[in-house]
Amino acid sequence: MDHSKKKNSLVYFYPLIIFIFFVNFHFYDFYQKNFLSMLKIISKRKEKTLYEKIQSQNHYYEVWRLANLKKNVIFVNEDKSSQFIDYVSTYFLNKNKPQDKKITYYLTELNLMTKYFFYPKIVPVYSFYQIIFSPPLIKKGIYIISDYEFESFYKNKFSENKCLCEKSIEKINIEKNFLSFYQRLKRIEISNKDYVSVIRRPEKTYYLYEVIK
Amino acid sequence: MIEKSFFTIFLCIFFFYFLGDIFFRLFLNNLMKKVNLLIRLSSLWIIGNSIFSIFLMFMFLIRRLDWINFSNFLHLFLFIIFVWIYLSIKQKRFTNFSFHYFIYLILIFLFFLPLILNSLTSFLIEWDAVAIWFFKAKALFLEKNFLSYLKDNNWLFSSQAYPIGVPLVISFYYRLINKINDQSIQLYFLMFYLNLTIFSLGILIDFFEKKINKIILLLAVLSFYISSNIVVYSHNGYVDLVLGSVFAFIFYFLYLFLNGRESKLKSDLLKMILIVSGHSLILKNEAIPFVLIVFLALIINFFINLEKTNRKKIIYFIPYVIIFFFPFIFWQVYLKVYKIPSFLDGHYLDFIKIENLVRLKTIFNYCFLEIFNTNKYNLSFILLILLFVYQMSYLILSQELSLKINLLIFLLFGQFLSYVYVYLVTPLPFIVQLETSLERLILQILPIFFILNSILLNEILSRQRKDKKRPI
Repeated sequence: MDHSKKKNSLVYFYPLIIFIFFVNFHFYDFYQKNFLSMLKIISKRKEKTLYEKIQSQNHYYEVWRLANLKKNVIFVNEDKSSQFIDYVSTYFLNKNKPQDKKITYYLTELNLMTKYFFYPKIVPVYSFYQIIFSPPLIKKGIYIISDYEFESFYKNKFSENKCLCEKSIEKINIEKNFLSFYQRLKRIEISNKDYVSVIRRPEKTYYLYEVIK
Repeated sequence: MIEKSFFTIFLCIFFFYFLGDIFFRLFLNNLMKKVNLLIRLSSLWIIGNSIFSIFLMFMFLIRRLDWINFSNFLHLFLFIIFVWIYLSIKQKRFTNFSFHYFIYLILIFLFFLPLILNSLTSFLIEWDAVAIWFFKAKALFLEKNFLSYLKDNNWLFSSQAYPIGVPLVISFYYRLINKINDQSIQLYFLMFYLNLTIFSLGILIDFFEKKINKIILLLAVLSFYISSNIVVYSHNGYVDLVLGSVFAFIFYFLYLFLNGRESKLKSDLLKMILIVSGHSLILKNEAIPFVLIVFLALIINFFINLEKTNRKKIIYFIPYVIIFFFPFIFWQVYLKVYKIPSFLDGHYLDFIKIENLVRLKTIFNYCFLEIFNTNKYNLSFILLILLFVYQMSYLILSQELSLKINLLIFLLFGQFLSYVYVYLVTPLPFIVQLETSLERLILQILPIFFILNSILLNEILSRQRKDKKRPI
């Protein structure tokens, strides 16, 4: 055997490094294909600007459009259960005394995106009951952004609430108010998005209404 | 025809490189000559960014952000090009381009082309990006008086006290194109990732050029940086990988400083560390413990090598500290004066509470789950951990653990402990914060861990062969 040339022992690690690269590349390639799919999608879109073509694939595109068109909107948010909450932040009870107690503040992704798109405009947030019982809040031309569908939400609440199952005055009152409120609304369809990001959790459904009367 | 938003973002990127190169030629000439093209090129990006971010902070301070527009920027860009050509002619050196490094750059560019295209054509959706960094950028762009945003309780969720280094650069871009475009600016974030990859390859080539084939080194670097979690955070608007890149540069230059013998070179390295550290402090609050530990390491090294050190020379670095740390100090004073609180205010000593101390077990459980999560890091993190344990065992048992290695390990683990501390004192729902932020904090120190392993391997191989090669 020829021992004149001493072999570099690190050479034996080459196959391992190559193997790891191909394993990692296999997973990376999955993202890569997804990244390139956006280019194919936007080439077919008919929006005026490239920014809007890309934005049209955003799950919250319809909210962005309302902000872009400077529409008056209100946000209706009822469900504050932990399952529904996305973004967590801290509020100060007294900003001048930050050492004092703080409260945790929760935002849904929809609410967060609404605040971002509409900034510096402040989008008022109301509960379902507030908008039903305060007709002056809901004027013609206003758009409502909501994280639940009004009709099914109303039915669920209605059937859950036993005291409302009987034909009480309260029930009749709620029913009357809801119907008169609901008749004034036109549902805006949320378009299907062709681009599905593989690097993100799936977004939750949201609903848009226009007050037409 | 190319979109103006694309044209402008590419112009900005070239601007940062040229600015960095001018600074290198003027003030860091000794360092420039000693590092390879890959390290130099990526360092230009970091130094150009540091200088321009500090400049933007000064513009913010004198309330003159409204001077920024495309026309003024174009003039500035042309001026920078003119100075660059002048310096190149004067120094008789345009570029030290060696062909094989150029080939590696092309390969990296082609490999990451889909990611580059994606960064230019993806919408902004991630929570912290929307809620904090791009929200602040929007406020900086739209508000005539930024304080009105900071004082407004409607925007409390956007963590108003967080540093504004990155939002300032984003708003600078918005001012150039005179509209909000949160899509193409994502390339700016990706540039940190790409430069980090180039930088890491440069380090490996510097260490192992004669021992390992360069293509294998390229594959090793790519294997690590294409881990899912790193790719996901490469351009989604989070600042953690940006900070991780900046930490990596400080870490490596600190190593060179501790390892170096040449006085002029050490002086350049110290300048580099000071400038980039100053920049890191206006990126994210996690840089505060990191920079403190870097300073501590420098002080320890100074006292241990007191006899060899020219104490009078220290005075030359004071202007660097004043200029590059001023924006951070200014921002801290600004927050105090206008009473903009941080979420940790009033909780700094909460770690001594028993109910908070019991969090430790959960924190370490989550850390182990994170480190060994092959969905996020493929095999890379596990292999690095095993390599680290092996290398440390070797160095400890052979009693060859030097001061510089100790200081670097102290920096890495000190930074990790600062994260543990924040989890111990946080007033936010503990588990929620842990689950949503740990993977991002790990990203801040992951590049350092990669570089540390490379340094250790180089130390061991050099000692084994008794032909210890210094990178410089």
